[in-house]
Amino acid sequence: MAGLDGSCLSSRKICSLFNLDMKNTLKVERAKKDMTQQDLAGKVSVSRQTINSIEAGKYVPSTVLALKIARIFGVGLEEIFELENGD
Amino acid sequence: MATSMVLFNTRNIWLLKTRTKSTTIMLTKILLPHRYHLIGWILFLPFAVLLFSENYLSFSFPWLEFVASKNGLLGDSKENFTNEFALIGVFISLFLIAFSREKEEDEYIQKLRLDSLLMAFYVNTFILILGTLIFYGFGYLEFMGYNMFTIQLIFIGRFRWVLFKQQKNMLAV
Repeated sequence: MAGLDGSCLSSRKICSLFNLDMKNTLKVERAKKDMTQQDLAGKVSVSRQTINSIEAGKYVPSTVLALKIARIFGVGLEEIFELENGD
Repeated sequence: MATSMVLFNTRNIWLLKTRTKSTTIMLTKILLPHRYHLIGWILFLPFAVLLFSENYLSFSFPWLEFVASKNGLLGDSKENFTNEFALIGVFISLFLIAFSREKEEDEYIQKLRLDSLLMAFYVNTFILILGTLIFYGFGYLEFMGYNMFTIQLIFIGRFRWVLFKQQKNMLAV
């Protein structure tokens, strides 16, 4: 399933319609560092809405933003963002 | 020989690393500053009221009357430009509302923006086809008059609605 919080559970069809072929562990990484969505948003200079929709699986970030996020958490890109099975 | 080969390869790899400017920055550059959003809304209401009263109540400003063509068949002909004034006012205010930056304009907001623009064009085409089938003569002319605003209005409506829904979703989490 695309959304970590189950936002896409209700309709698989709609999820695939919007190209959600990626899952992420953003929420987990954030929890490890005890960071709020707002904290992270401020550090990578985007709006909180953006972080929120990435976590909800509604938005696939640009490469630049993904790299910035990975740098903030000090981990590799693929530890946070991962392709869904079947791609 | 081997060393030069390596050197050659390294240089090539260096050339292949392209530097890309983020598209977010590029799009932000062609949007208006955030403060124009409010100015747009303030201008929109009076100009819309003016346009309607000009159209349906034959209201006009006397100071907008100019001589349009000299020495015509019936002497000088005067034209009132209230209609043009109101139309241009509405166009400009809608433009300001639609294309000024959000307070936090980032890549996700811009994705919503472009999605909304695409949807506005889709709906506009649909309305255009529907109107062409339904109206003719002066009715068609009036329909086309209103149709001049559909792209802007649908874009603004859809974009605002998505942002509002997003905000509400976030508060619920």
